[in-house]
Parts: sequence; structure tokens; C-alpha cells
Amino acid sequence: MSDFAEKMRQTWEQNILFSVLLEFTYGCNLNCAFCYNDKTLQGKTISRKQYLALFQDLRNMGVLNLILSGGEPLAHKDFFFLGRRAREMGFAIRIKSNGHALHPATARRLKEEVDPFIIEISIHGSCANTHDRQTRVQGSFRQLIRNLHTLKTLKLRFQLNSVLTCWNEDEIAEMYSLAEEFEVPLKFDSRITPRDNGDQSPLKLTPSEGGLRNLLRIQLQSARQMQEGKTGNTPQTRTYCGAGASTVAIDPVGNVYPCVQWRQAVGNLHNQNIQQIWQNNAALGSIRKTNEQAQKNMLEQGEKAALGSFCPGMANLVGGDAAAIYPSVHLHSKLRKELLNNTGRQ
Amino acid sequence: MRVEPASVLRLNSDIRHTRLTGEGVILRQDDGEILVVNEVAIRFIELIDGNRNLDELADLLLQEYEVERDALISDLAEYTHELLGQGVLVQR
Ligand code: SF4
Repeated sequence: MSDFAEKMRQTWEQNILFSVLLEFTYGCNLNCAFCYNDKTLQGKTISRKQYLALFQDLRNMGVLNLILSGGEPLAHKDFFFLGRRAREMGFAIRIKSNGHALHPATARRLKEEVDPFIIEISIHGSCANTHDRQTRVQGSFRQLIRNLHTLKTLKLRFQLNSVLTCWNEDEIAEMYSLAEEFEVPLKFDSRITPRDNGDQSPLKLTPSEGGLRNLLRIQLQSARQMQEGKTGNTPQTRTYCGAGASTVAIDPVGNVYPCVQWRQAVGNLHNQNIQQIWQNNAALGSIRKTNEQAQKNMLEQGEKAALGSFCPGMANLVGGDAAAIYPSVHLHSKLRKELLNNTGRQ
Repeated sequence: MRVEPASVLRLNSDIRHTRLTGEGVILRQDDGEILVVNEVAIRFIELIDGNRNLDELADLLLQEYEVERDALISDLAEYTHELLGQGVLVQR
């Protein structure tokens, strides 16, 4: 295990906050069909002053990673002001953006003022038909490709993120080729979740079993290439993931969650500061226990789930129990196993 | 690259750092490399402000750690040389 991997393991084991995701706003310049944000969220938004106090608390707590997200984070009126301050305070900044507004002047400003470590940009297909169908904004694909060229020219580090849907499942290979053209990684998420307000309609875009198999096959191939020459096992940890142990997510009205997927609020910044929320908090204590239980449950599944990926946040969304193994974990595991067996025979 | 007691140091602009369980974590944003360093090294990095020279940095460290001045200066010069080579520090 590398020194840094060991450090990350320690953050999980000792509940050391290291990464914080801020949902600045649910405002957006696109209108994605499966957007999970709850646009009806009520409450008083966090002010500039409160964000600055939060940044100071986070630095005092040793947090290094600050993830600026949304909605579209650039749509927040104070995006550049806050981004600048975050940079001055020494955070490693990640930005999750749809990339639509990153035209040359804005991209240049982003580099000069915010200097992010990386920008994670959403892409929904390999062509305008599929991408624009998902964003429901005509011309968004063309605009995105233009902006990606700008980022490349300005040497702004970025990666592409996508969610596998029944609309783009036939374009997986082409999407990987597109990412290769820009020489950046492409990360797929194969989980479509209900909206944060419980609305199930995004699930209509769930990919087929064939689409999922196709994605896993391509991922397996590239994982094999990357694994060549590498040794060592993933360390065993007490909790299943870092949710509530080394990470939190904060929505635009100050609700604090263990993770962006795990929408069970453990406090609100209008009532307490982040240090108070992080320490001696019964709700967070119960999240951590559930996360440990999730790890135990996954281990107990043995073969059945060994190759599946589980997410306590997703489990909480689909069945109200973050430690309960849900069916797609078994499906993922089964498909991965089949693929491994097939490639092993070849 | 010679490192003298009068050398003024600053962090490269792509460097981000923090403390974690008694050690330091340094991220070089330009290449995504992460270094894990010991407590004295991260304290040294924290004290670098772009104005202090190596001698002044050593004085500050001597107030916090019980070590021989000469040994510290020589260790710092060697370590600074290494950090300059890794692109973590820049000599002004
Ligand atoms: S597995 Fe799920 S709950 Fe855990 S950190 Fe990842 S997204 Fe969050």
C-alpha cells in the first residue's frame, strides 16, 4: 500500500474529515432528464459570510479536498469569489461541471483565479443526438466539445464523467474513444438513482443488462491493462466507504450529509458549525455504525456480491436501509464474474 | 542549484498541503503526485512564506524542536535541495 493509501485508510478508520463536497446551487444552464437534484428544496441559502467561515473551519480541521458542485456550480452568483478564497486558503479544488459555460473567457478566469486541481465534466453520449436528448438543450454537445478543446489549450486538467443510461449504452466504446482523443479519463457511473426528493422518474433511463455487460467488459479490459505490473490488495477497512467517516456533502441550504449519495442529514450549518456537527454527533455516529454494518453485510454475501459494487447511499435511497444489499449488487457481481470467466478461457 | 542559508524560498504555486495523523500530505497539482512527509518536514513547508530565508526558517524550527542548529541547517539544506528538484519549492 502506498503511503497515501495508508493515510486515506486512516481517515476512514479515525473519522478524519478530508473531503467536502459543496452543492453551491441547484440552478443550472442545462435541464438533464435524470438530474437527481431536488429543485423544490426549501430553506435559507448559505451566505458568502457563512461559506467563508466554513472554509476556515475546514482548513482548521485539516480538510484538503474541496469539491465545488451543483447543479452547475458556475451558476452560483459568488462562484468566482468563493473559488478564489478557497484557493487562497490552500484547498485542492475539484469542480463538477456540465462544461456548458466553460467558453474561453470563463475558462481562462477559472485557471487564473481558482486554479482547480481538476474539473470533472459530464458527458452523456458520443454524439449530439444522444447528449442533447439528455441535456434537453439543443447544441449543448457542440458547445461542450468546443469547450473541451479550450480546456485542453489552456492546460486545465479535466476528466469526463458519464452515467450509463438506456440512451447511451450503445455508444460506450465511442465515448471512450472521444475521451482518448482528449487524452483524459472517462468515468462511468452505472447507477441511476431516484431524485433526492424521492421522484422515481429518472429510473426510466436505467440501462439494460446488455448495456451494463458491455460497460463492464470494456472497464474490465482497461482495468486489466492498468493492473499489469501492480501488486497488492485493497486494504480491509471497518466501514464500507468514507461516507461520514472522511467525507461530507453540504447542500445549498446548509444541510450536511455523509455523502452526496447518502441524503440523510446529520446537521445544518444554520444551527451549528461544521466542527460541532463533526464531533459528538449522534446522527453521524449512527451513520458510521450503519456503514460498518454495510461492510459486514457485503462480506457475509461472499461470492454472491464479491465483485459487485455497493453504495450505502444508494441502498438508503432504494430501500430506506443503507446497510441492506440491493439486487443490482448481485447483478453486477454476476456479470463481472461471467466476464472474468470468459476472458480467462480465451 | 546551491542552497545557502540566505536562500529565500517559496512554494510552487501548484502545491497544496495539509496535516494528517501526525504527518504531512503534499499534493503537486500539476502532475497529481502526492507526497507523504514527516512532521518536521510539513512544519518546514508550513513556515515557508516567500519571504523567509533558510536561516530564518531554521530559527523558527529551533523554537519548536530540540535539535542542534548546525545539524538542522545541514538537514534543511539537503531537504530543500530535494524539494527544489521535485518542484515543490522555488528559490527566489
Ligand atoms: S459508496 Fe456511496 S455512500 Fe459511500 S462514498 Fe461512495 S457514493 Fe457515497
